[in-house]
Amino acid sequence: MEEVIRVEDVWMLFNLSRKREERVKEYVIDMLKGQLFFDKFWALKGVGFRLEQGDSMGIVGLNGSGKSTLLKLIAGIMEPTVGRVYTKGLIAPLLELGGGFSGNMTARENVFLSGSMHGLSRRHLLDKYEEIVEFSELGPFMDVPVRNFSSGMRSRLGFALATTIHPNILILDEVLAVGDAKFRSKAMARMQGIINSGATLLFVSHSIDQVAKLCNKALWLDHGHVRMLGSAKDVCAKYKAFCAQKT
Amino acid sequence: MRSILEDFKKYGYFFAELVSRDFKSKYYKSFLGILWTILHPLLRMCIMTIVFSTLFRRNIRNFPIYYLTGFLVFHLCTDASTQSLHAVTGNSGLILKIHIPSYFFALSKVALVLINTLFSMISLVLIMLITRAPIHWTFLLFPLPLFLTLLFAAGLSMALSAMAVYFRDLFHLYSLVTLVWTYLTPLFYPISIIPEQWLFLIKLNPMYHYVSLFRALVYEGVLPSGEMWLITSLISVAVLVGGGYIFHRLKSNFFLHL
Repeated sequence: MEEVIRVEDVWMLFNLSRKREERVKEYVIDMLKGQLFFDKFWALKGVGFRLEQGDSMGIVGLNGSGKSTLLKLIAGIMEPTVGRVYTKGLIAPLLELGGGFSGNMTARENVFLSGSMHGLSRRHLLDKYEEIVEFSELGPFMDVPVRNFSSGMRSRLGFALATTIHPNILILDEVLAVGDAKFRSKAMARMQGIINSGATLLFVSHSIDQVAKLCNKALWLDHGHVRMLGSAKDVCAKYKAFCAQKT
Repeated sequence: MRSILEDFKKYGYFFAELVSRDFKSKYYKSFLGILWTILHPLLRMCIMTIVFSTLFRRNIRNFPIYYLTGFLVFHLCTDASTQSLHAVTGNSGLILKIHIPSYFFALSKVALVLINTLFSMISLVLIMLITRAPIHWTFLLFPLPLFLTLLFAAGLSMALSAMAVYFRDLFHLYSLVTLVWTYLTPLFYPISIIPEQWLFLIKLNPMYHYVSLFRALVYEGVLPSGEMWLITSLISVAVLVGGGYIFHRLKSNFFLHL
């Protein structure tokens, strides 16, 4: 199988400045005083794994363990401080519900703008448009500005768009938390279909059952370290036991 | 360089969508809509003519055209750079969610302002016809100075949009800069009123050269000297490359500050 994602010993450093030095004056004063200190915070500490075509990996861990940071590195939004991230093919990142939609524009316009951000052509989007509308079940609302949408509607539109464009890598960060049970089961089926068609899925969820059901591999992050990496079944079982023990 | 070409190939449609979004939102719910692109320079010209034309009656022939030609070029640069201050910070939601060439946001503002300027050309021609100003064949060369100004504006906009991420004060600072800049550029006064010893200050101002170039072709109807073409071309390329480099250096830490 072809390798699609390779993450090589990635470390990610954030400088948490105690003050928000975003003003020229304060910055200069602090610099003169020699007080430009930052609290160093390593969000990821030596994370590495590789995924092949058709793999689907769930990422689990407590809040603040570095899950979202890892996804952003893979999506190419940030660059790692140390290490290398290698990806191949079209990436559809869905990192936040309805993220990337412009409120004043209609749903139809947003489909084209968001789609174009993934590097798709107008013709390609015109071909897919009907399918997106159908899956999101938003037919009567496509000419309504997105700011009038509920969070459920936004997430349906975002999910429909990200999954219809046939990405090679699909990244989903807690996107199924909103949405009713009916749409969730429809979405799960759609994701299963995407995996079967040979795409690679990265999936962050606090629902262990979803991860266990959908993924073949899982990664457990703990304060930026890889606590466990293996088959979804093993990792989920261990993680579940860990969470039960904590409470 | 090659990656820039690849960006445009892959994200060209995104760029077009971005410009169209900004264009739509600019005139969103406005009554006159796109007519403003023509009206705005006309009204400005009227005000300036009422205020200044008698003052410089002897030095400036056809004040409305003198002012409009200067304003068009100057506004292309300052409007683009002012709007681009918000280009990156205003789109943080997108930049933090998806991998896209973020300098496109600055360039899309420049493209938007270029469209406005082309509409403003209509008002210029209108006023030229009304005031019976002579239209010389050199008028046809007007895209050249606009293009050179555009490159300058693009470089400046990229640099400013990236710096605004780190120093939000730039918004407040830059409006003062453009105010001073307006007075340092001979837009509504003739260059002849500047004392000899201060002339060098005006000549250090890049906008002076772009305005002169455009005025020579459109207002005076003479072909600018080779030296003028050379100076403006050099400034344009230097600022474009410099601005692009600044953006490239600063963008890697955007996500920490957005």
